[in-house]
Order: sequence, then structure tokens, then C-alpha cells
Amino acid sequence: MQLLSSIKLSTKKASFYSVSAVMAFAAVVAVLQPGQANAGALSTAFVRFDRLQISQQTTGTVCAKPSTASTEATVQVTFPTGYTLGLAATFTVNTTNTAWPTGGTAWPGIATASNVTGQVVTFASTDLVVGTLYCFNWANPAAVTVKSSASANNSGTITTRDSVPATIDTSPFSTQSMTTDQISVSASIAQAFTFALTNPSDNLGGLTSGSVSTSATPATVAVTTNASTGWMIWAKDASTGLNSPSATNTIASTTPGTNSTLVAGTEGYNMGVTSVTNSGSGTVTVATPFVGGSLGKGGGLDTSLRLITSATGIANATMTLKNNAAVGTNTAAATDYADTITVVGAGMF
Amino acid sequence: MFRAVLLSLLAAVPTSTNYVLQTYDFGTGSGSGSSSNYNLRGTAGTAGGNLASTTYTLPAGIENSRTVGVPPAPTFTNADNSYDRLKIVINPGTAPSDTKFAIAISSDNFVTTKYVKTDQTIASTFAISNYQSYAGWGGASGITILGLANGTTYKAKVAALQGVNTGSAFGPAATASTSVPSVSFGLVTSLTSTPPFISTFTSLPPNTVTTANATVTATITANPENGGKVLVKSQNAGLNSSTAGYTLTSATADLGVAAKGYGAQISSTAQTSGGPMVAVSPFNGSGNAVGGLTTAWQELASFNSPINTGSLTFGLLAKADANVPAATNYSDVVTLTISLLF
Repeated sequence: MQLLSSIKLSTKKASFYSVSAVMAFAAVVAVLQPGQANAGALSTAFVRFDRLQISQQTTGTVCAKPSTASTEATVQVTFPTGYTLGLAATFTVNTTNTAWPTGGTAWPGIATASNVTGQVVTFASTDLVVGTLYCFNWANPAAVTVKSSASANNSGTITTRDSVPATIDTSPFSTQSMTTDQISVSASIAQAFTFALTNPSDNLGGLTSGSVSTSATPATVAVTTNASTGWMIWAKDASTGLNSPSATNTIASTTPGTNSTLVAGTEGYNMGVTSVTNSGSGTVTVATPFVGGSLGKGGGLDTSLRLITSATGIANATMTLKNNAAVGTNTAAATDYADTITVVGAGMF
Repeated sequence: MFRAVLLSLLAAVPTSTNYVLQTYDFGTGSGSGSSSNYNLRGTAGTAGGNLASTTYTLPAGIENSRTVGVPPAPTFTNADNSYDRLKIVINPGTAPSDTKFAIAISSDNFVTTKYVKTDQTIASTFAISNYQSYAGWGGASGITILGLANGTTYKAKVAALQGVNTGSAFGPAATASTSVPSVSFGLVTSLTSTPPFISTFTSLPPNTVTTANATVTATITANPENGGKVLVKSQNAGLNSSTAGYTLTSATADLGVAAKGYGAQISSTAQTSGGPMVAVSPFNGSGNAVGGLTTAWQELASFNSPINTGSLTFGLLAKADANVPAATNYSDVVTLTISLLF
């Protein structure tokens, strides 16, 4: 009997060694709890608040990447304690990509929140694919108001659920509330006005009754300014015409305030703006009496300032001013006919 | 016949040159002996159950001729303040080089136990595939156990398997805790550390690149495993004057070349650890190059892992020309937010 026992034991021993490794695992597995239907963790959980400033209403974005294969029916966002939530109807949503994380794609089936209970907001969802990052925005600032105190580590969670509803995946997020999330930027641009007159001496040469004389080297007026609403240029003359002290005669300005074109043999005197160049965005307009452009065309000046050109908006312009004169056969001869024209300008800031 | 059988059986009894053991028995495995470190009970025959002390377990049945030692406690840490992962470095002890190891982890002192899979995630089931070599578990650098709950204290312990026959029990446990998701974000300017934050172009002479008088520094300490971004947007997408009815539009440009413009330029990034904080184009220019600000969120800087005291500093530059109308009320509001991938 003892020998028989020995033979049986040898048989047991061989068997033990052949399965010993398996038994070692079995011994461990035997103490395991049965497999539990535990919720998974989202691979990525993301909530961006578009305002971090305390007590500010804010829109925002929710993104999540599922890790557990199931059929989602809803997603719940638990906002941090202290954040004030609007009614469910205020949680309108859209799927416009507003600087979403890389790979973010529109959350399928997302819709205006169906329920807000405490800090938990429930949105509808349809099935999500594991490994895809889904995003949506809540678009109404009235839905969420940042807590009234500044603090770090304001935590919440994102939870996907099936139709039971049972949790599929859940993960936390954290955000900050702060006294201000903005920087005010201010700037001043100083007023600038540059006014330049070139060729201030305009010699009309010898005047004859057979032709209309005009400036050979006309004066130009250049205006450079950042006056936002434009500028104006006025002119007047000293004698309301070309005056000769020696002849005590004046070739009178032709009908100041109106536009005219001088005719050879008929005494007259005027000034016309013959060209305008403008590098600004505004518009330059020559006053009607002083529109030039053809020989003898312009307006008469007198001793009162008369508007000759104006601009609206930013206009950096150069204008050419030509003086015209005509004499008749009876015009007194003299070599000292002269006039002094004063031109002034001002910006409208 | 009976004699022949008896002789045959006798031939199988233990013998040596000098001795023959005429009778023997393995008994039933009763009785025990122990010290402070060992506990040994007869194990032959039908003895059932495992015997264990603090550091050793002796399964029922005949003890293997050679059993790999129980691994010492691993090094188990949360060095980077993670909320969903912990680092473990196996301590192989004196185990042979071909030893494989398995890792058990529990948040309730092993009332429930999960096992670390070779992809570093955890599962409730245990299989031979849970074993891998010391090198497979990252060697001296260890590995990160993923998918853990935040704000939770875990224990981890290691079992060894060497050859095909000898698996040890799990050894002593080490403890580590996950953190909670965290973020701390702040703003200051070079002029003040308390709001309101104002940055001013005291004057914008034409054809001159001008820098606003205050730079802005954003600091962040956060532990999102997937990193995050600092975003920026502008209220006016430029400097707007309501009285002049004009906006000096913001655009990405080299203001040294462009006739006029307005934008932001990051002058520096830094971090104590983690991250790193990286300036993002078009805000990462130099000289007079600026990134255009828009009314939509734009990425200003990013980091791809948890970051400790990360910072970025940016300035605002502008240039006007003679066509920009004069006004004293040009303004904009720059808003910053954070985008964290937990």
C-alpha cells in the first residue's frame, strides 16, 4: 500500500510540474474580482471658456475623444462649482471650428441642452467613434457665467453616456477664473499739417492785346495732413487785380466769385487751378469759380479769402495755380503791374 | 507472481550505495515552522492552500526545485503631477535576467485589483501576456501606467516569472497618488502686476515702428497630459478710433517694410519644467515682424505636455503713415484664454 502510494505520488508530481505555471496564475486569478463594467476615461477632455474673467458671461467649446466602444446617446458637462448656468434652452450649440484643437471634428448629433441640473448640463449626442476628437461650441454667453472670484483649478468633468443612461467615458478638466483676461490697448496719433507753396514769384511777362497770358512757371500748393475730415485752401489778393502804381491803373479781377475765361483784347485777370494730384484716400474738390484747365479759365480774386480747393478725408494733394491776364488796346502801359496773392490752408481734424 | 511484483516495486524505493530506505511516506503535510521571515509548513501529499509571510508564499503541493524570488517593492511615483498616470520602475532584485514581471495595481489596498497591460493601460483580467521583461517595463527608466483616476492613491506590486515553471507571488506594494487636473493662469504687464492692464502707444509718428509701452506676460502652470495652448484675439482686429472713423488694421507683416500696421510679437518664452512653451507663427517673428490679430481666436503659444511655470511675453507694435488720421482715442482690447487638453 505504501509502495502504491509512492507510485500515485509520482504521477501527481509529474502532473503538477506540467501545469504548475498555469496553477500559479490560477492562484492569482482566483483572488480577482469578477470583471467590472467600469467606465472608461476619455482620451482627451477639453473645455475652453472664451472668457476667464470673473463674473463674465462666456461662450465656450467642449471637446472629447472617446476611448470606450459603445453607443453614445448623451454627453454631460459638469461645470465647475460657482459657475452660474442658464436654463437648458440657453445652451444653444454649433460646430463652427473656433480654433479647436488639432484634429477636432464636429460632434455628431449635438443639440441644444436638454437638461441643466445643478452644474450638470446634458446634451444629445449620437454614436461616437473611439479615437476621434469631437468638438462643439455653446454659442450663447448667457448660458455660462464665470464664478465671481478668481481661482485656479476650477474642475469639472465631461461624461459620455449611452441610452440607459450609463457612463461610457468620463474625464475631468480644469480651468481658471481671473480678475481680468484682457489688455486694453490705446494709441494717439498726433495731428499733422504741412502746407507748402512753391514758385511764389509768377511773372506773366509782357501783356499784349493779341493774346491771353498765363503763368509760365505757376505756383503749386502742397498739403500733407492726417486731418481725418479733410482740409480747405483759400486765397485772396492785395489789389483785386494787377495794379500799376506808376500808371495808377488796375487790370481788375474778373468777376470775383464766378468762373470765367479771359478773351484776348478784353481786359481781365483771374486764377485757375489747373491740376490736382492726390495720394490720399480723401477726395479733393476745386471750388467752382477757380476751376481752370484751359487758357484763361479761372476765377477772380479780391481782398477777401475765397475758397479755392477743399478735401474730404485724408488727402495729401498738390495743386497747380495759374494766373491769367488779358489787356485791351486802351490798357495803360506800365512795367510795374503787380499783385500779391495770399494762399492759406487749414486741416479739419 | 506476487514476489516478482514485490521485487519490482522494491527496486523503485530510494537507495544509495550504502543505504536502502525500506519504508517511507510523504505524510499529510501537517505542522509548521516559522521565523520572523519565513513560514514553512509541510507541503507534500494533500496539503491545501497557500502559506505566506510578509515576503514569501509557498503554494500547496511539492515546492519547485527552484523558485524565482518575489520582487521587492517597485519605485512608484507621480513626479510630474499627473492626474491620470503614475510612473513605476520595477525593482528586479536578484532575479535572473530572463525573468519576466507582472504589475498589479489597486486603489483600495487590493480589495479590487487591476493589472497593467503591456500597453501600459490597466485591466481587471490577468493573463500570461501581462508578463514582460524588465526591459519591456522600461528598465531603470520605468513606464507610465495610464488611465488612472484623478486624485486617487494607488498601490502597485510586482510578481515575477522565470522559465516556464516558477512564478512568484506579488511582492510588497509601493504607494503613489495621482493629482487632480490643475491649471493656474495669470497675466501681468511690464508696468503692473494687477489689473487693469493697459498698454499704450503714447504716439504713433508716421513711418515709424513704435512699440507699446507695456509688454504682456502670461504665465501658466497646468498638468494636461496632452498639453495646451494660449489663445489670443482682438476686439477690433486693429487700432480703432471712433472719432476718426478709422481702424489701423492689424495684419501679419514686417512693419519695417509695410507702410502701416499693427500686431503682436512674442519676445520670449520660458518654463521651469515641462512643456516647453513654444511661440507659434505668425507671432514668433523678430525685428519688426508681427502677427496680425483678429477677432477670432488664434494660437499664440503652445505646449505639448504638462508645464510648470510656463510663460510667454509679447509686445504690441504699430506703424502709421501720413494717411492714418490723427486721433487720441485709438484703442483695442486684447483677450487671452487657455485651451487645455486634459
